[in-house]
Amino acid sequence: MRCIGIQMFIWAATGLYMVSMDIHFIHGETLTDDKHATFNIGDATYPISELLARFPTATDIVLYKRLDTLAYQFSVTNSKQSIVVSAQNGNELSLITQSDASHIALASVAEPANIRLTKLIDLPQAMPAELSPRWLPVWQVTFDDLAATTFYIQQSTGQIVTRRHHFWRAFDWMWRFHIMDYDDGENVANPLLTVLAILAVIAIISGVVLLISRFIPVRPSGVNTAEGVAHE
Amino acid sequence: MNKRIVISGWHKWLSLLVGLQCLIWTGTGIYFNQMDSEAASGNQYRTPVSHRDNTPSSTFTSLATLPIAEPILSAELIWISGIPLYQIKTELPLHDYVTQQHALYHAVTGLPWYIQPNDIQRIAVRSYTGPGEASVPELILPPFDFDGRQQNPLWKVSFNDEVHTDVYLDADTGRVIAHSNDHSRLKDLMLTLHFMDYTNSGGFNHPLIVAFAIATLMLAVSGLLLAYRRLPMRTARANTHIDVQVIQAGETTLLSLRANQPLFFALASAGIHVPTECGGGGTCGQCVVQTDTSVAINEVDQHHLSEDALASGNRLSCQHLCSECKVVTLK
Repeated sequence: MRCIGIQMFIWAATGLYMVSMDIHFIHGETLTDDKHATFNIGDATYPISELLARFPTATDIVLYKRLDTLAYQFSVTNSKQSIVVSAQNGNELSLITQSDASHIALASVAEPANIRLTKLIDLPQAMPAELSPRWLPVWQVTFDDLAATTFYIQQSTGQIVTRRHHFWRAFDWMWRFHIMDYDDGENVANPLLTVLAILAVIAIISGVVLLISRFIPVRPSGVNTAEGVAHE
Repeated sequence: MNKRIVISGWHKWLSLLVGLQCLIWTGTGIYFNQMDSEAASGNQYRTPVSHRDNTPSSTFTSLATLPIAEPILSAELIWISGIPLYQIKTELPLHDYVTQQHALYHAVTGLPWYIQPNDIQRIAVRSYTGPGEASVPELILPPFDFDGRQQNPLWKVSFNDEVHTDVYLDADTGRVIAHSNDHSRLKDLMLTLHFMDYTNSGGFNHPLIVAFAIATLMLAVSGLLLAYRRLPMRTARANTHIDVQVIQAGETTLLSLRANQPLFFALASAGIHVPTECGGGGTCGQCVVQTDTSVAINEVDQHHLSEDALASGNRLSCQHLCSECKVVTLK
């Protein structure tokens, strides 16, 4: 039964971290600033009707600014990767280079910081767990700040598809310890948690009973009341 | 005052404050652990809605001709019930529940476009596979019970089925945001209790739960400190036993007890239960035994026992090791 005390401490500590850290901050919403990505719609001179004539199966067509170029990104049925074409002349745009990725990261980061590493990840085996394989290939741009802020920039679209910092990584570990699923933290319905939670309920109920007995005590004679008489 | 009594005092008042909430946390925790997540999603009767149609794309007007003066962040071709539209965004929040800033234009005419209640009802019905009939759509302002984080107005279409399904749709695009039913409402209630989110903030970042979490952490730490002190000391002589003469109701027995274990616990292991409330914590003062007056009086004995009792050899059995006491008389 003593072990449940340790788990209760873990629940309390991890719970405190999760409730006291603002979830929007944890999710890295404050890490980027998209002011640099605004554009005038009048500059999109290449019409969508022409794009659809060339790529009849195109879906999810989005006009946006990729680095300094106004572009359309879209999916087609036979390709897993997004296609990106210029919104000025319809030419297909080449993949984002390492220096492009660094430029995008520096333009998007909210607090000025230096880049420590820009690395291409194109294989699922080489992928950190914090990234979903559907985004591959991506540039991983890591800053040299204390939180090791990291942007994952899709090589085709140049979009920041995932962002992470140590506060989020720590949050994920807190979650894993909170739900007692220590590998990927995806299974709340694990039997270890069931057992410990039931033990905890028993422990808490016994604690409540003991607590009541401390407030409504039955005392033998010859003994001072626990709180009543201070030591002289 | 003795540190242990101070910790115990904290432990008592903290547990009075958060004890009930701890029961709620573990109880709702067991619910999340055991719940049928498929049912709790509220999506029992939900199915994806396809909006795309065959409007010839050659008729689409160019985005550049839209009457938009201010800088934007994205323009997307979307379909709503077969109608091609341009969705223009001037903000790109990472979550859908954050206030959206967007405008819709018909992709063929280039004119601003607004959704109608019949469109909403049609989309809701297409997203629904259950036996119920749809109500008239109703435009509702936040906050919403199904998701306190939602900041946008939504349409609600209710179905009169056995689980009381409500379908929520985006006010402007009619995109299905959520299905909610009795199962998901139970989960929402459990989340409210687990997050102490009684103001329906939709999250767990509010001062009430932070305060309770701090108090609970202090409770857990004080509990661990009290429990740690209770473990028999683990020294090299951990298994050394000594003989203690125990006098109970006039009968004397000779017991072989672990020398460096507190008497209270050693007696408990031998099947003799000295009266207690705190279970050997040194906080209740109940586990009094009579021993030799030469046994050193400590702060805890002094705190709980009167001068007379101490002078006649009364001591708290949780405060003294077996090795200190040769003869013990139980009360």
